[in-house]
Amino acid sequence: MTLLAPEEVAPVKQDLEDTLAALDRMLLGRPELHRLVLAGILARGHVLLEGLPGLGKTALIRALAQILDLDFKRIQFTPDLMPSDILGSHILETGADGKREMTFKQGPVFCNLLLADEINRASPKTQSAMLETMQERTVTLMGVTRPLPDPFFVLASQNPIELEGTYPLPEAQTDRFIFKLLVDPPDASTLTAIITTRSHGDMPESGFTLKRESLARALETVGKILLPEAVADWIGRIVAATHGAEHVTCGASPRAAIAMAESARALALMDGRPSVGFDDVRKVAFPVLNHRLILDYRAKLDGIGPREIVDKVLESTPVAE
Amino acid sequence: MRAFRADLLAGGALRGLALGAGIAACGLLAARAFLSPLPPAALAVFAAVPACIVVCALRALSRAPTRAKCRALVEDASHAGGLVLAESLPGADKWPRPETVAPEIPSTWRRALPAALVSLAALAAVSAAPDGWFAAGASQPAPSFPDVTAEIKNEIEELKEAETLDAEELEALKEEIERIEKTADPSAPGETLDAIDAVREKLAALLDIDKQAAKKLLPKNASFPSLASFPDSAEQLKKMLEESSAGKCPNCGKPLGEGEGKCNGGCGEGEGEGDGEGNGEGEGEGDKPGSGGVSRGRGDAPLRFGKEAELGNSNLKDVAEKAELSDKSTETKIGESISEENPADNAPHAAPGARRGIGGRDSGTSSGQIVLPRHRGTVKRFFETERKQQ
Repeated sequence: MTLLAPEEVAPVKQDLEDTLAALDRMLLGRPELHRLVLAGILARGHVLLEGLPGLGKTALIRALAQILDLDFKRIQFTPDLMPSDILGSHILETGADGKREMTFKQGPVFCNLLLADEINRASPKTQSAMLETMQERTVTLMGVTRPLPDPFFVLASQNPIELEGTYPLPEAQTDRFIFKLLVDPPDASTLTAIITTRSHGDMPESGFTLKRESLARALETVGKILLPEAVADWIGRIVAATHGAEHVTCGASPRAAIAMAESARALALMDGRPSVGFDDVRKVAFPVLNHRLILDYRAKLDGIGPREIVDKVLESTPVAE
Repeated sequence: MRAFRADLLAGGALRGLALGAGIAACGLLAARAFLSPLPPAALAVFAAVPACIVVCALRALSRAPTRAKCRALVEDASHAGGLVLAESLPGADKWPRPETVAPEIPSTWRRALPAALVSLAALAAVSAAPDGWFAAGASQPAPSFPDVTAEIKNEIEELKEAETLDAEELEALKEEIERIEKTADPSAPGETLDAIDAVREKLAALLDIDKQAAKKLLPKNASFPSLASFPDSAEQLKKMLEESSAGKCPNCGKPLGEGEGKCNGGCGEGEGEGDGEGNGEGEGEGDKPGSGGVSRGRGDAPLRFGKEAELGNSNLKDVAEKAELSDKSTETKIGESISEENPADNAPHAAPGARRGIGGRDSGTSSGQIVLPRHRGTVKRFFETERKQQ
């Protein structure tokens, strides 16, 4: 295996820097969150944003859709939403020759960037309609499997409060999200900047669009970033360590290890490096493991969350054994 | 990276060296202090010390981190973004060489060096120290056997005075025991004790020969005549006894009554018919304890048992006497046998080790012990000397 040359990495890095800069201009005060969302997209993963209402989760996804030159659709998840409302359905149509036949009408899931707003408000039946699309990136209806457009990303948002009338996402579905990112309230200076520079809170125009070709090249380059054996070994040991960790009922799945490796590659590329370092893994460890650890009742009683568990696992797992 | 790995290797080797040298120094110090001069086996063991140090160094080398592990540690410490790990891959030369920082490992060669130097210095000091420094351990006074040898010497002297044995042979034995006493080896007390036992055996053999010779002089079925055969002597003996007791009961020490010298003290020596005038009002029924000597009015007064309250008012208590506390000095000797002794019968009284001052003669633990063949002579001699003293 050969290392990528600097001239191969540099243009991609520049594109990604421009993308991040545009995103930071549109949404103030969250550069790290923007980096992680972009890393998730570069790792070809789906991202779940969790935060209180009004913190800009939907705005972030819409801003990203503006910057990325992708086909963008939005679904507002509600309890009466049906799978056919997402995936599409067959309808009876009369042809020009007067002959009637069942024609497949594509649902909103057939896009490049899908915003699943308040995803936990849909019923389990509808949520399960997303399982195949998120993992296999296909839709199977009436025995026919149709591929989704490439690339395909789901950026979902959910509200941690107002849980009445909501259906918690099943573990199988949360495991399909590469990151679960917590959207924290902005600080006072950010709020001041928002109200002084934005009229009615409207986002400014992006002023930059990442071409489809550029995104495709970036996605291709991410796959060429070197994952050294020592780093891969460390990722494996970290994920394995979550299974025996205190306060953890179920540890992370192999998807977590894959997600950690791919997102670390994306971060390395965004930094303009040809290889992954241990620090890249540290940065993505919590977003990857956050929603994949099932904690026991003692963790709730002791006030211990996934953050403490992940920190402890990282600390107790040496980089070299 | 190479410097870091060399540092780890040197640190491990020095730690092994420090451990090996430290153990060797301690062992050598203990050996010189307590076993000086060193026995050949100890010297052979210490000849293997360098080999142990080499083994420690090799073990440190084998446990040293691999090149890949060192690279990972340096990468993590340098925050080089994987460029240190990718250093050896083709295409790495196109990228700027990352600035590396050696990780902070608590055990480097610098930390291990003082311990290694101290251990080596201790080993050298212990090896080069003169023997005089360890004189306290080497010139420990040889454990003498004063109790044993003095006892044997006394025994020999007594036999000499008794002139029952050949004086030359006894003198030879005495010289031998003195020689053993002088040449006693403190490191091998067992040999000395064996030599002393051998002298005892010889002495016992001499005594045995002497006894057999004495037995041959006595006729078979010899018996001593009874006292009844000599009436005059019996009368004389009785008179002597009366004179020696000076009118007192030889048993309880109280004055004898009038007439026939009967005891009025209630010790049972009287015949019970005495008038008791010698001791006031008591008409003793001498065979009943308490009715003879104690003044309770007339002797025919009814006995009132249960009036022990008079005694109860005192500080005395009725306590059962333990069997072992009984006074054996009051036991009556009923005869004496001159037949040949069986040493095994006397074994409980002469416990093994008693003559060496180990104790156990009266401890009760020796009663069930068997007399070893090599001790039988000693046991026999013990009773021989005891009888002579009587």
